[in-house]
Amino acid sequence: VGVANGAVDLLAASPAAADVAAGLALSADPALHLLRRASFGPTPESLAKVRSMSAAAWIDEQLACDPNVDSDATWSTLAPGFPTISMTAQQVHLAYANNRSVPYRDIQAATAARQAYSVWQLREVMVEFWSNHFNIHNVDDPDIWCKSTDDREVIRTNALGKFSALLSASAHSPAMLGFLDNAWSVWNNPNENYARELLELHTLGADALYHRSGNSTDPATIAADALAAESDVANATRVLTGWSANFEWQGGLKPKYGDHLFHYRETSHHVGPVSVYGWSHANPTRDPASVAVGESLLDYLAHHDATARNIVTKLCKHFVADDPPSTLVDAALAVYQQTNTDIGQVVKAILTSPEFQAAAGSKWRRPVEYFHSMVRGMGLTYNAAAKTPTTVNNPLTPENEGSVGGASQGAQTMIDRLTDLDQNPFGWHTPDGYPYEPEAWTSPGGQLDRWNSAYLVVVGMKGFTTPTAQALAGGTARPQQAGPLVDALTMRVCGQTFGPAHRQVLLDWLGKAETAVVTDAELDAGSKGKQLLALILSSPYMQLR
Amino acid sequence: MVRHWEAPMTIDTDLRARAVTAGAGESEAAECDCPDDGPGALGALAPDSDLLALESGRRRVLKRLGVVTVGLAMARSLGNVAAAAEGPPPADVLVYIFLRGGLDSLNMVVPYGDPDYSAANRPTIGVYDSIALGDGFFGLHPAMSALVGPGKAWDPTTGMGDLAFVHAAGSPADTRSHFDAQDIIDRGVQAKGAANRDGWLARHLLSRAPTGPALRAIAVSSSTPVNLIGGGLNPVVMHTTADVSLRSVNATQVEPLLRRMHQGFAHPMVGASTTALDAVAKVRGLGSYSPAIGVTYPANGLAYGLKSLAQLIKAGANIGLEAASIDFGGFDMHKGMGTSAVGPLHDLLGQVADSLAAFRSDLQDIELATAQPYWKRVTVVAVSEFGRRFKENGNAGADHGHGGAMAVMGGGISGKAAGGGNVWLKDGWPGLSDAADRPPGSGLVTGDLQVRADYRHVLWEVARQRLGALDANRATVFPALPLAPFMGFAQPKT
Repeated sequence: VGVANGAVDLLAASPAAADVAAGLALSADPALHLLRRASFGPTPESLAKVRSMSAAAWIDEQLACDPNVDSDATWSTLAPGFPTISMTAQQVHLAYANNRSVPYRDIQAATAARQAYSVWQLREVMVEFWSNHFNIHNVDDPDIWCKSTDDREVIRTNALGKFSALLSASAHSPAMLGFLDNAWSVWNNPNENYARELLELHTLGADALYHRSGNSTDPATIAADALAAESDVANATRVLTGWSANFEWQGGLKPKYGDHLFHYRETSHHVGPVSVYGWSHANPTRDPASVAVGESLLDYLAHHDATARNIVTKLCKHFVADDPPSTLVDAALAVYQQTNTDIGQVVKAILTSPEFQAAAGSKWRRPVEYFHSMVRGMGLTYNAAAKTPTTVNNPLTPENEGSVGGASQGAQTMIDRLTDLDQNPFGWHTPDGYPYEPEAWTSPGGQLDRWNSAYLVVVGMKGFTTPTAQALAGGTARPQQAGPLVDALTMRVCGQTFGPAHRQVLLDWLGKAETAVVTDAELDAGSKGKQLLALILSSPYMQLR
Repeated sequence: MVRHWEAPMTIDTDLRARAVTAGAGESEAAECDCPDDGPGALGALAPDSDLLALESGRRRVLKRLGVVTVGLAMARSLGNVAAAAEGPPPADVLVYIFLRGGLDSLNMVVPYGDPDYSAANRPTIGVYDSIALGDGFFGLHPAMSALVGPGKAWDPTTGMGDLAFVHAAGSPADTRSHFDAQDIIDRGVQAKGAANRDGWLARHLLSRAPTGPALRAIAVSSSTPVNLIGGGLNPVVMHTTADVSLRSVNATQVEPLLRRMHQGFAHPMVGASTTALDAVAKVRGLGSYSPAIGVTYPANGLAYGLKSLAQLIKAGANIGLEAASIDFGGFDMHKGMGTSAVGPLHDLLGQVADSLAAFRSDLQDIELATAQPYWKRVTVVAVSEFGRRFKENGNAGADHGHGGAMAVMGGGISGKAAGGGNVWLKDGWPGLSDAADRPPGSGLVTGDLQVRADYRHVLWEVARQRLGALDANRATVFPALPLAPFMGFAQPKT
């Protein structure tokens, strides 16, 4: 396996400034780099843990976690605040048909809480990756009822497992079949929404689907490729006709909703030969056994070279570089094929590659990564008992609601902050998921969003306990002089000290010379300490990863 | 037997005649690459297309070096232009609305005169009570009534108005992928895989001037749309101007410190941060905004964005807004599109029409500097990545199609097309027939409306006639775009 043979021990390498942004003293410390990429941001605890073991051992430990179990104490206090995430879709529908904002909010908030607090950070990173890859915007009926089931049984169960299993689970998921309309596709008037995105987004990728001859400029070749793509979409649609779910209650009395489980509708299924991108089947019957025809197609797609390239390229972009080196992509592709689509092994190969090691600081943090890195760097604690005011209740417009009376205040705050940043969980409306291109997020408006978010993380996190600058710098044992004080704070929050010019900005905000004493009273007056923390969180050292 | 394409063929002839007439004066000279003709002194300059037409790897390198590289080279190029023409030509403010998801344009601008537009093909979603636009063939979705009638953007009775539709328009690329089709149109290219990785609107703005005011380019969106990406343009992404603000305990002290915190290194973050802080200062100076008397914007995201843009437009040179790119989505209606009276398409089209009508009314205020309505220097363009399949699917929706319609509206737009309505066609209406015996070249292609008007020709007509684009920069803005006469809906800016 190419990557494994070329792997180096990250922690043996000496820290050096990343050369990504010339003039910015961004640390390339390997432990810091690993945690900037494979977690939602370093904490003092996670840094100590990585430094106490090899990178490979830390990755192995993360990959070995139980997909649906959070053993940590923090989560056990938070989970009761999200009652719908462990319910079946039918239970959710029955209990919250007239209070849709609860399931809508629960899964978003639970996701954000796990991103911020779970000890299984690599799992959460991959859950976010796959939730985006198989994006389901959870605001409409029936997806709103089914989303938490999809999160548990499709995404989390398979996030670090085999891609073939993940794909199959997604294709059987009522949330996906509802979101992309396959649930209502019938043989004599098919709906191709899901089948197209299955080929274009979930597996082969747009290049392979629409431009199978490569980037030809010959009009006849382009036209033939386009026709072949439409034929594949139409055929994949036919294969999957009948793949549906029981959303409606078929009987006369309560419960008035169906079980919201996968259901194959024989009478909807297309019969007759089908072929998709080199796969074909006689598909002779609409018998329930015909589900196996679709499963055969999914398995073929999961193992196809084009799918492998599409998936591992996206992983390499996510973990390593916006333009990943072809050597890395090829090596990761080999792992994907040799391990029968094992996601965890591909991720490990990528994270232990020399290309990864060389890429410190080369990526922007997307908003979701930026927000959680602030929460984690600052060590905010989530007060599970804090509730939103009961006088506020606007449950009918889940997308626009302010808050629901009596709900978890911390949950609402996290959703609000992530919404401000335009990246709340599952908030992207279309099946392609939030963009990965740095240009999408790095505008002047994006800067303002980040800086405002930084300020609010310090002063506006209702439902959280936010430490003071004094506490973060060491409490009663903190450095008293301005220079050592800002060093202690930047080290605590960002995992590194700042370059001289940017360090001077912090001293200038304090209005102190290097060795001048900064008292607690001075840090409290006029929110001096709070704005100091906001400046640190706003800095370029927090915005890159 | 009356063949369904006969009526449109009549329109076709008239439209062609009009297109040639209207185009003869300005557009042929405008389209001429000959350096001795018309604006030929500018045409003699090689547009710096190589500079912007960089493949992605090199562009990233340039970006990391900072915008200076691009800026200096562009300044050299434009220095020559300035010497010849004394600065870039005057330009309208462009409001470019991307209706994402694949708008069902056959239900927006309904070809009710086409006999195939019938319940046989659209049993539940068909719009059979559209508002006639004056040509006896096309009608507008009833939800868009705010734009049609006396005193509104288009008056079919008088044949006057500043709203034009271009039908059977779209991308030459034969893709049914949302994401490829959007990407192609955002980048202003013919097909996927083109070298240009930046946005057409960014290229247009940068080719006019390499640098400009902080708020010269705005995206009303949650993230930067691809059409505004490129070359250190640094568009300000916002939902409303309320987003262009900064929280701190002390703006006077903190903002200069934030500026310093984002200087001293080479990274795109530096330019974005500087522009952000400049924009905050500018918007802070504007204060609150009251629209023109009697104008109430509806309550939707598009209207909120347009209201903010009206404020910025009325601030004039103090803000220097050149172009705004709005993303407005939700048009991907595979299921339950609704009817002409209710449903998601009805609601979204109503939001579009009501918002644009309010925006247009708001900008009828007179601008002191010009003694003209602000609207005189505003052009709105709306586009979607493709139209939807003509035949309704089994879920009262329609799958991805190809040909669609574009809308152009503004103080310099003349809506009236040759047929008497405000629907413009290139080479006539293709028709909606799927019959085996239809004339070659007519009717549906793989179930979809044909594309006859290349979206780039529509955009280039707007850019050249209203946005001060130079012929010399045509190949920069729309590389490899074949020459074509202007259709004539855009009047040359004076």
